Amino acid sequence: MKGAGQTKRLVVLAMLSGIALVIFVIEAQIPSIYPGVKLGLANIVTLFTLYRCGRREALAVLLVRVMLGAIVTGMLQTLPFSLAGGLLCIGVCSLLRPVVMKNVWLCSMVGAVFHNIGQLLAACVVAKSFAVLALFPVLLVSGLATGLFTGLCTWFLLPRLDKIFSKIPFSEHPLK
Amino acid sequence: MRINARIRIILPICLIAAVCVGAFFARAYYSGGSVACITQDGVVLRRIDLDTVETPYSFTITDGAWENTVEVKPGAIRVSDANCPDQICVSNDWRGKGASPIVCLPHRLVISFEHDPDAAIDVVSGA
Repeated sequence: MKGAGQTKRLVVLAMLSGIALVIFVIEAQIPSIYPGVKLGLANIVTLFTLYRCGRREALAVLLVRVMLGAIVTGMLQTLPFSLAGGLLCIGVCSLLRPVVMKNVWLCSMVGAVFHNIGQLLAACVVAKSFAVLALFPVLLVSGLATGLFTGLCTWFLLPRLDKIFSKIPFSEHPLK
Repeated sequence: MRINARIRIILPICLIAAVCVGAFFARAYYSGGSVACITQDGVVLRRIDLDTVETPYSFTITDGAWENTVEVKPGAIRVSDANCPDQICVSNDWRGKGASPIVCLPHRLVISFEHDPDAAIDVVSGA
């Protein structure tokens, strides 16, 4: 029984990574309003995994999506920025999760802002220039807006997918 | 438990507020002047005082296979062409005094706007 459960878990996580990757690739084709600002729709999947399956699962889905996303879109040069942003975001979100268990959107907003902070810090290191920090306010405002959007998406998604996910043995079951 | 519920909302908002304060300090500290400072890989390549530019001109910054064509006109600067994969630096368009920097991360190129280092006082208030 345990082996079957583990297989289910692996399949579901692979599927989540696949969904995140497809969203990421499609989103990369959409032109942005302001240079460098993105909706971050793929983070809906990461956030969903964090809230429904657990921290370790979310980290796995994020890493797979970031790595494969960089290869598929042909932007390996921007990999360190996605990685720094994603890891800082998921770190802050998993720390904040027990505090804002019910308000996913709040966690998402803070997470999005820290995602941008991570990217900026990586940019400072790569460009060896602190002047990049002057882009912070734009990214802050956009992070709050897009974070609210992805957070609300996850919020509406969580109860709807609860039945399917309740049979699979994830490392945590934060919602119970 | 009521206090606890309140903290649940206040804590994230405090976090965001702290970040906001940091953001505006960073912006105030790292931008504002009319001197465009072009930096690649941490090395300052050129400083152009946009206020003293009279005729528009352009030049290309090359580093190995990386190319960024920079265009300058009175009061503004832009990256008009680049062979980086994301083209974010080109889509930044014309930027001038006090704007946030133009960044081409794949090529590690930053065009930031600084205050004139020779001018000790930027503005003397009338009061």
